[in-house]
Amino acid sequence: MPKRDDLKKILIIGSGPIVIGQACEFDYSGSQACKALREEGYEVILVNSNPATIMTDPEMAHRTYIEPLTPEFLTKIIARERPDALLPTLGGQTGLNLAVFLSKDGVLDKYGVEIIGANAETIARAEDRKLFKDAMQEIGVAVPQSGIARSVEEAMEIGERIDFPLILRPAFTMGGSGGSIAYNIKELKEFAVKGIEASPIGEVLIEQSVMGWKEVEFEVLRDCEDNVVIVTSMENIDPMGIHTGDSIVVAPAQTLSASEYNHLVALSKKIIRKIDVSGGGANVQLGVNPDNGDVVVIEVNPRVSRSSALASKATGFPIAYVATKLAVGYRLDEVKNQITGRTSSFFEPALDYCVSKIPRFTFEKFRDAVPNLNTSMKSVGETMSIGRTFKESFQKGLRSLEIGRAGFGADGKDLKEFKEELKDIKQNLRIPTDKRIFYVKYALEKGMTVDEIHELSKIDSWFLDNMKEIIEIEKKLLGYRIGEDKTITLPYELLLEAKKAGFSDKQIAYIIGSHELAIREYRKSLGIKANFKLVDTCAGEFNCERPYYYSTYDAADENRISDRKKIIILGGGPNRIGQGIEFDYCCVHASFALREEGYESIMINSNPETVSTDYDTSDKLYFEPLTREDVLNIIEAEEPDGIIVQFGGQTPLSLAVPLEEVGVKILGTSPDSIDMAENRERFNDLLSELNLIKPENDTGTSPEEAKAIARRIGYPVLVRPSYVLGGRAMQIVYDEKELEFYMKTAVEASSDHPVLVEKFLEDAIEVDVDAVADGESVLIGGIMEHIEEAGIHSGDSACVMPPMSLTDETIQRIRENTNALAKALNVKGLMNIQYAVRNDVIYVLEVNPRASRTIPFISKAIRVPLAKIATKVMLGKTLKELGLTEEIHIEHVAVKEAVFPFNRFPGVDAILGPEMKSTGEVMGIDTSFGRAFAKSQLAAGEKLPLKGAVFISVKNHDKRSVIYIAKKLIDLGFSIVATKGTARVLRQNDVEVQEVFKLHEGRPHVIDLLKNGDINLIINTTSGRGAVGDDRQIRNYAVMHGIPLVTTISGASATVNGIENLLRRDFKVKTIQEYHSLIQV
Amino acid sequence: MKAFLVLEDGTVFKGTPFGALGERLGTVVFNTGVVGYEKILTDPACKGNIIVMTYPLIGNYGVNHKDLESETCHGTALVVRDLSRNSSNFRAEEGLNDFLKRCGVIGIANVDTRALTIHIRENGEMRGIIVTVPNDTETIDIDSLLSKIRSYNPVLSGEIEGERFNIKKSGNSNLHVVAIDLGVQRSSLQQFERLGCYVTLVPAGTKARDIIDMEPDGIFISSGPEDETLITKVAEELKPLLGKKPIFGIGTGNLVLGCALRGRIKRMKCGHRGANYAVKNIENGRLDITLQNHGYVLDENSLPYENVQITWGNLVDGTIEGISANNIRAFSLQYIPNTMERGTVSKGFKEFKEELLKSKAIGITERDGDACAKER
Repeated sequence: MPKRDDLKKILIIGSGPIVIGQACEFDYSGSQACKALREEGYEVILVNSNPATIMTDPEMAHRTYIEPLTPEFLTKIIARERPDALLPTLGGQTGLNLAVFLSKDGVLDKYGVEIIGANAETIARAEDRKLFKDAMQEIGVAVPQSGIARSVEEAMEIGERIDFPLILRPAFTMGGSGGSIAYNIKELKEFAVKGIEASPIGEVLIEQSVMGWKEVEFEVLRDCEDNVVIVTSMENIDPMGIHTGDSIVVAPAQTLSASEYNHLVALSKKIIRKIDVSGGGANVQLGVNPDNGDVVVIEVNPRVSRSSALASKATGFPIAYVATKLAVGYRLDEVKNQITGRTSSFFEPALDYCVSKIPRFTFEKFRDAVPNLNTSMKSVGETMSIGRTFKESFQKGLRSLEIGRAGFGADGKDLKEFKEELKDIKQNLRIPTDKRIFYVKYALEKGMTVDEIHELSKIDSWFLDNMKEIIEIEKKLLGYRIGEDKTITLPYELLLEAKKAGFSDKQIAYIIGSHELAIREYRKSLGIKANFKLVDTCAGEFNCERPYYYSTYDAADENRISDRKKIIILGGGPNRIGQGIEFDYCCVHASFALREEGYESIMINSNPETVSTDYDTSDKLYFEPLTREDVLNIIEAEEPDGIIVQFGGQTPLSLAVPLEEVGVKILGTSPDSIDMAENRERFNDLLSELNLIKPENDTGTSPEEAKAIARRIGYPVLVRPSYVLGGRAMQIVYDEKELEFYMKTAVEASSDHPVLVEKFLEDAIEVDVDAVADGESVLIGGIMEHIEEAGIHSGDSACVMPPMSLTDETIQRIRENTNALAKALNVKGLMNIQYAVRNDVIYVLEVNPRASRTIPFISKAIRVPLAKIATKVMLGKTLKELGLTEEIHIEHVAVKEAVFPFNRFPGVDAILGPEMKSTGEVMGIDTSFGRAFAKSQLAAGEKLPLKGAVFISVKNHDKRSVIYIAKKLIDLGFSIVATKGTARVLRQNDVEVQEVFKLHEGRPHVIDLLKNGDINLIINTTSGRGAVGDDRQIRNYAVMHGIPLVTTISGASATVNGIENLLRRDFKVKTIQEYHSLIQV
Repeated sequence: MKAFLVLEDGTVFKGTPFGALGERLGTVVFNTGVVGYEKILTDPACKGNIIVMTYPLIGNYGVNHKDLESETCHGTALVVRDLSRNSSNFRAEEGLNDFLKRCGVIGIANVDTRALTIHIRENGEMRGIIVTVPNDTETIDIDSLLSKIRSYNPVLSGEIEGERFNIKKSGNSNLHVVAIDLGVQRSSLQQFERLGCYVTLVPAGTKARDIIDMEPDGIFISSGPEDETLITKVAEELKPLLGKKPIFGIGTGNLVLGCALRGRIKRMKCGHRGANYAVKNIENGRLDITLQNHGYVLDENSLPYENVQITWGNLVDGTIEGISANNIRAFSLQYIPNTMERGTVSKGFKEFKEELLKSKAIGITERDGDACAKER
């Protein structure tokens, strides 16, 4: 059937900010959807609040709204655009939920908008727990025993019916948010409350636990004429009970027999037909009892998902692209298979390799969080690796994770000491944490059998035995430890066996006591080198046009090396806090720029969620770990004209020096300049040469030295290890005692580098500047003023451009400083500078001659794709040639706000500081600061109240500034609640205030009010040591229960400004293209 | 220990032996199925094949004898990238290594199967030999192996599962199918069982009149090894049966029916062997993903008759995947329509049963040979 021509204009909903459970996979799928629809001549309207996406680039859709993803704003956009259809299946759970809401609310009917991809009934059948259960029962597919609770009483009733443990799954939430496992009545009660709150419709499914079963997933596509294909199976190594997003997953499934596999395929096809996805895709999650083969269906997502992104990258089948074509009426056989270039999309990929997906956790950022894995997703990113065997892909995946591991242990990082050896190990196998897989290694090393480990961990013995094989090879290698003369005596066969099992040179070097590069030289001398094979969707059956590549140690090399001019871009690896989608955005732009300039663009990345690993973003894609060894393999094969390391964040940047050492040409700013900016001493020298100032600082290698420095420059000080990402282990300390504590815990953060102690500037305004320089001229992309004061990590602070409170003179001086620094560092490409302004003095906090997190935000605000421009500059173009010498001035106001994962980590204090904690960002754009800020808050999911009570508890230092805020709130109709200290100050200043007890003073106290729903907004700033006592409990409660919380005074004042604008209710929506058209050049 | 695979064009692959030891000749073919090695090995259609699995991890779930397609292995050797030493499945009765040993099949592991697959893809399926040598230093005499390959000319006669695989008439089975056993798969017989048909298996050489004497309600031509001589012979015997009883063929059975309808077969450079072949119904556009295992196809130009329809085509290369002569109630499928889903029957077998019921009720009115009377 050809495409539908009754549709002209189609609205796509994006997924908003990156949060745990909903990451950049939806940028990848949304971008594919835009492409798929534009090719067909449809007019594409896109809504997404996340500026760091490729999909919101102005050329992706015809009209792009960077507006909050709320029913109110969607309604305004629909009223303005009058689309014929809405495609909600590409924006994750957010997109789907919005579509359901708009449908139920009658908005779609009112404006005559049809939902395509999955209609409202289909969505309901998959998402509504009762309808789903009924549908499955009708086709004879088992579901875990369950009941639906809308109240605690109902939950307790179900608890009596079904045996513990029980799984609680709130309806219409993503990434298992609010989900939990209850082992007893008490927990059931507690978790039922949370679950009902987490569900937007106040409904939670309570079901029989199938913990310990195998978790298997199928990606299924179905067209309007009932043709169905299975794209791939995937098997979770971690058993049921651990969220699939937190599980190590392999594709295809490894431990299902043919008869089980065929049975599950048949079930999946039956299920998608029953759910009635018509013209789209679904993810089917099944539980399989490993002891008897019983099968239950866990859930079905009638949309593209994290799993479908993984399935796409694992197989080469572009699910989102094809699903979009199906949504507009095409049949599967009418859509071409882009990878082979000759077959149609009605096919099921055949794999001849094994894919491992390994989640990336960031518990190190949330020290108080319990790192246990369960049904609520906690990982922030993932890597995907490809090998010819599981052993190979598993080890490649582990070394891609950026957790300092070189593979499955054997890298000097294995735990050598345990509290109570076997007990400790067994405990970690039984109760899985982010380190569980390494405990499997320890268990094997301590002589536990595969069966014993299986009993405790429920990991299938096939995987465990493969891990055991890896350890056996390690033991064999150990027999060849080098002696005095440093000669390597590894036999060819063993070395090849190790490389085929995925061992990195680094691991082998560690095992035999040699050096990584020595191993490399040695194995090359034996003729053992990485060969490249293809992801071609067909296991080699056909010769294909657009494959991508992975390395392996099989005999034959299939790499197709062109003789074109070519540049390699190093991607960012797995997403984690501090290194997210923004860097992938920059890499993608670099690739586009290379292609525009006639170069062959070659991408190396290991992150399956991204646009950069889409098969057609670059001319060539290598799905490989970003380590020196793996990158060198590619460089040796490709012999590129240069390599770009500045766009992928810290991961590739840290490879700059090791790669340059072996003679690789790094494009753009030289590694020496990068070093000058990062090396404290060289940087201090540079600043004094330029007459610029920096807060006083020094480095210390011992606690004593650090204390001496701090005494000299005066508390408070900012301490951190040098060379860190996202402010890792960075802290403001207010006295010696805190410093001592910090020194004890921070040494671990970076052992090779000393600790930096820097004067902390209290109450300074922080300013971020992004610029492009070509060696001659400098283009300032944007000057952004932070809303939160200096001391809050720039990634966590909201910011506004153009600056709101800086004087013209200060801005001019910032410009001059930026120019001077760019020239002094001889920057060729992007640079980011962080300044602090206090009492008209401008301090330089940091200079990063590379892509920054704010590049996409600024590019969206000013219409100039800075990363693309920077790439062209790195290739030798001048800014003059590119016609970009004048700073762009905008008439509108753009606000960036950060989004936090605190609700995923019960017990973690939601206070902001110099260590970055946010996972994503949104953009609010409008004609005034208040409106733009209000939009940014709505987009970030903050439900700012329009009336009610505001609880204020601020540190002494803020008491004076909060008076104005409180008065303003009263003017807006709010009442104020405060504890003794703050209440007294407010009353003295004629602010009417209701005093409330602190927790230890009596009842009802603050938490009682919160629990009763009597508080609608919390303004809570803490002094120095922060996180103590009442305040912390209040914040915890607020975060877990979604009560808006502001922890800085500047944030509070912006919030009040935002509320004032919300009350006016006169928001307008406008496309980014319209804002851009008003920019004067 | 080492093992070598030598192809008739002189290409040599080295690996590690498993399963049985010794020397095996065969036609080297690759199969893209990710699971199902035990079914592929025991499918009689694989007789004389050295089977290369493109999926690299083989043996993971061991072998359960209920899953086999026949009593023993028919492939002569199995080539894999990585043999699993662990069989992890509650139904596993033995490991693949032991199974091969018992069946006398040589396995060779640690081969770059992708490189081998591409070699076959580019140069076509060809004969080869696998030899195992006891110690690592031993070399092989390529020339003598090549001459063995050149003199290898397998006769791939049909297999007989024997009478014990007949499906007996029972309470609910009242339709009698005579199955011409070219190498029938158990999963085909299961389909009849589930349909409530009883089956008499007869060898490939059985005369037409003997079949008629058995008073079948319909005739099934099974899949099996593709021997050109045998296919022609069986087709000749089938001709007198055309129009007498409903006929249904699958796999090689499709080639036989095609030949009986005066069509010709041709060898493909590379066969269709795997579980992901996309086919399209020419009449209604319905699509299906199918299991296939064949190296010959019907020549699409050899069936120009008005009453013979090409019903299914391959979505990628356009080859014939099914034909039908409706006026004589005879049809066949090149792919294997045996469903793997527990307790279900595929459309192809169901349609055959409908034909059986119809012909039982109203008989076949068209006369023998009419299917080919008029050219299109």
